[in-house]
Amino acid sequence: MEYKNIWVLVEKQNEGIHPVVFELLSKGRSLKEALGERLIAVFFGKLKDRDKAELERYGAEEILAIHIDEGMDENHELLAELACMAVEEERPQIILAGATINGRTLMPLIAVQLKTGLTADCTELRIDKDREILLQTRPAFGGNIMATIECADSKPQMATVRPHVFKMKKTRDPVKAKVKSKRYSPVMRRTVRVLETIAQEEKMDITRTDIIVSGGRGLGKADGFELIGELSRKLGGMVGASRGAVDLGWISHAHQVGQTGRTVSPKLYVACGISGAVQHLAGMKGSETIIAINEDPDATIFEAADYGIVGDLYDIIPRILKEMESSGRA
Amino acid sequence: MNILVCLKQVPDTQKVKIDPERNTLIRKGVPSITNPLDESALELALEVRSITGGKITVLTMGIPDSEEILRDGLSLGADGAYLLTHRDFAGADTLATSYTLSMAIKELGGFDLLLFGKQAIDGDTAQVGPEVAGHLGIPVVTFVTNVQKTAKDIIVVERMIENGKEIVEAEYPVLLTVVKAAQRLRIPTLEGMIKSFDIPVHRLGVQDIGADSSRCGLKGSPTRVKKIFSPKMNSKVKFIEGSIDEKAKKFISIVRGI
Amino acid sequence: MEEHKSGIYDVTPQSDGMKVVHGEETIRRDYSDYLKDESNIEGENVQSLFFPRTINNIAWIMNEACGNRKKVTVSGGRTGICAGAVPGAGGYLLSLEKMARILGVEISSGEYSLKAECGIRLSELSSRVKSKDFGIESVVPTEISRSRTSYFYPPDPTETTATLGGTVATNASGARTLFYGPTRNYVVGIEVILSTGELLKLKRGEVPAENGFFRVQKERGRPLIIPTPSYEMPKTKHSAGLYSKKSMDLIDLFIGSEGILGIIVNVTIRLIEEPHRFFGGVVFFQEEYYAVDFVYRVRKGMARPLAVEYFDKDALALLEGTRKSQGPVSEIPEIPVCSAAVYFESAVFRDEKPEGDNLKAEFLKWKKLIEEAGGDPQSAWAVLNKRDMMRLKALRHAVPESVNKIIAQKKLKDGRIHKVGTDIAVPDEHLKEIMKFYRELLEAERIASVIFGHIGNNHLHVNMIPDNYDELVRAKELYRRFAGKAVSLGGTVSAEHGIGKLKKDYLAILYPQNAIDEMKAIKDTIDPLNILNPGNVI
Repeated sequence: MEYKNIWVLVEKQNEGIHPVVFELLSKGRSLKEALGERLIAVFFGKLKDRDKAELERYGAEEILAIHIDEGMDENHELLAELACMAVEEERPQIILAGATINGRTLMPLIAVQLKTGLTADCTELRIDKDREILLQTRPAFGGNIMATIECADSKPQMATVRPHVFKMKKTRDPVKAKVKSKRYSPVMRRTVRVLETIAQEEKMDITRTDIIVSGGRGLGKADGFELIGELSRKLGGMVGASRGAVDLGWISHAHQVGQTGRTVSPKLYVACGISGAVQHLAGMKGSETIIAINEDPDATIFEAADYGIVGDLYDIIPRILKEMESSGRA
Repeated sequence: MNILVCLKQVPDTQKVKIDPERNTLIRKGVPSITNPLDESALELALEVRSITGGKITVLTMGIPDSEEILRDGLSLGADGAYLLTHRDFAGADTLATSYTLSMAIKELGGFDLLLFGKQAIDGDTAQVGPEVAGHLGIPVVTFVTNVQKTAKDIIVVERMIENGKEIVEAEYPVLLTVVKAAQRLRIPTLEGMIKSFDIPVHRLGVQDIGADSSRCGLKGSPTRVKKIFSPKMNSKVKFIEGSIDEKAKKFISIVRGI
Repeated sequence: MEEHKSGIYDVTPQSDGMKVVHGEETIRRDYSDYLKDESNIEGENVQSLFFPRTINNIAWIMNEACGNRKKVTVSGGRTGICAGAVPGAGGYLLSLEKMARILGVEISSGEYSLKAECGIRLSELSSRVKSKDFGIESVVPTEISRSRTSYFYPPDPTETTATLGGTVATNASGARTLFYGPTRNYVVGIEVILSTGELLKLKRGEVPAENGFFRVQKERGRPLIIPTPSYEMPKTKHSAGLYSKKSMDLIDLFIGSEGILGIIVNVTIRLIEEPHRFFGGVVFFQEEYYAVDFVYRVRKGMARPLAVEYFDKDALALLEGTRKSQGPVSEIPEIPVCSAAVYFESAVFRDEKPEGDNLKAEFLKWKKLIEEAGGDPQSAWAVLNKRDMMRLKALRHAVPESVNKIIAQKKLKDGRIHKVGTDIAVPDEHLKEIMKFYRELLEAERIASVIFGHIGNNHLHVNMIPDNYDELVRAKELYRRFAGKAVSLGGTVSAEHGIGKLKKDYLAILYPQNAIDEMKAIKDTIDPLNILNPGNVI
């Protein structure tokens, strides 16, 4: 049987579905059109009407609902086993999942069992129409290098994609998805047991975040960090600071980026009112994308930045915040 | 306790450049180090061993020069070291790499605890650990932050999850992938350093581990890198011009593109 | 590389492409970083801040300064701690940070040299030398680009963000100065803009002292005649006042002159083959006395130290105390309980095999010395890979940084408080004596302190941390007594930090008035209008 159709593995979050699934379905629609195939959401456990409706809204044409015993849906070994059994039967051409902690654990287990390739953390997915294969583009070396990868001779083609990479877009013409229920009885292998789950606020550690908004002496006052804090909260990141700002006592040392502070390499680094002393640059130049906001067009920080905004941060940041509020999630 | 730690030699920088003529990465002049998260894994192994006793073996796959990182492991107190190096291993993707490592692990045999760094700073895939577990058919716990308890038959670890953490119990053998530890890797003692020079680093090739060479290296890799390129076409900063409104809008669109 | 003949040349003044900021208030508000350095001393207001990009720019500025009778302060990386780069008077301030290109590399008679602009940072310089990637503007001889040998520039000041020009102007040292000597030893040529705007090109060996004078040819007109100094310098590591030696070279007068004679714009340095492998370690001792004894044994023993550095128990306690604030100390494992620690560094050189046996033999030599001195090789750290070496370097750097943080807090209570940090060195045989002297006086005065630094050179930094103004006064008095003692032992009042604007009192302890008058006479000859770096040294 020929390998056909695109699967998106559904990951749950709290009582609902993880937003990355909708992002993948949104992208999946264009992929399946290029291939002329179908877009299928793969759901583990009991499919609620609400889940079904949501998946349809983002373009799922079919839902594969795989039975799993209550409380077992975070058991990666079992999920992988079930997914592989379904692949044997259904033969998908492409499998996509979110590059979440769960996705990045489950997908490798599936790929090994199917002896196929897997590309992690893709930022772009495209179909090569002539050869009908998936071109997967991903960063390496902390984002300094991009690589386009293909898995031409082995099926299915598997990829994970980080949250927020693709835009979430509802389909204009949702269809009633056909639900195919599956029930397998895999040989239960020895697995691990979760003893306890603790939801927690992450301890402030600026090396562990994807987004940092940093402030420097150019803020002019300690209160400036309130604005920086608001922007970083809106972006889902943390607050960083230059040594100058820390030395002035505007913010604690735990926030300091640079040679005597922390070295960070987030996906996004926004430097506000930071002149760009080499000591600071040494601590943040590994960031994937750097946006600098500074009044001085000659500030050294612009030499390290990918994007520069020349202007008063007290004009620009409030406008950004307002704009984000009116246009929803950034 | 018989512990295995897998290490990878990586360039000591993420700011690598592409040779525009050959479309390959420029490695010249870039020193190599042990992948930082692998160091966290090694530190964790040393901590566990200090409680349980036993042995630590370090393993890597790479060019002969990768012996350096194994030597570092030995100086920290690892008891044995193995280097998988053979031309048939070259050009491996994560599937072929994990196959090769798993064959070596089977050959060496008898490990209770297998520790990997969550991911390497060059490839950033975070796949090799779980894939090795898949090949070996043993359970894996990913994104481990620390070990809470070790007993004769079980280990209890803490791992990250999307919005918090969970405490997980596993029986041996189990494979853990480790994220950045709170405790930095220790520094070798002078005594440990001197002792390490007497421990050999064993080299292993395809036959030594009974591997099928068609499943190793480039031959055994289903994925192919078709193209590499720099994400930034020029290193020059792009200034965002226009009114404050336009600047704010453009800022948001850049942030959303990330 | 361009033709390089000693002499003084006219430069066409131009001002193209240079950034200038005018206005005392604007500079104070937006460029306050440029008004201070690591000494944390706030400088005077200046009227204009220049960021020259070329020699022509600087010549133009000096012409302006002469014409308008403006003082000129020159700054590089602003990593100095004696306020040398801090404006001591109004007028003009030059930051040379934009002049940071490598101009050329060459091999001649087997010696590898590199010419660069003054503003290049040492970190940038060393990584470029390491990767042999010199930028597009220079043609690299194939003997260098093809050779597998790695080269390096030995001077290693702790602050790697220091600029090449700044380190030449101050004859900077680092931990490895013990083995490799200071910056001076690696400078083979400099180009200097004089206060007149003229360019002086100096190549080592070309302008020797003759009959009490240096005679240097100008492009046209009469030669410049500079008197040579005649005072005797201490026979220790030393960096205080102008260099003086019988049959000296004019280039040495400029190296370490802290900017009072001219602006060093280009520097040609000598690079040497890097050892196969650096290695090192930290030994923890239960008594300070053992640590000092260890240093004596290292000197006599078979091991080859490149650097030997000290941490006293207060320095170690300070480091542990900053661990929680997530600085570089958080990268270091817990420090064993002890009263003193000594860091050592050594290497396996090019002509030796880099194999394990050789390294083992070297480490065994250190082990023997440690055991003889009462140290414990079970607790001592040994480092071999680059990353661990960097971690220990960060640890050394963290001591003065931590002191500065504490001082900053004390300053909030009383603005007059500042760090009182010594830079004294004595000859080898007097290490024990000076150490005892420090301890006795510090205990008698009960002033919080840390002692750390280059114990291999008998060059320890005593950093006193006064809690109030009274203690500050007493700490400064202690410094004078330490300096007096050191001078009486044949030592120096400043081994590496220089004099700048903060340590002129100590220069007077070291040298008699006639020596200082000689320095003034030299300054008057080269900078008759006293324009350059007012307030430095003399």
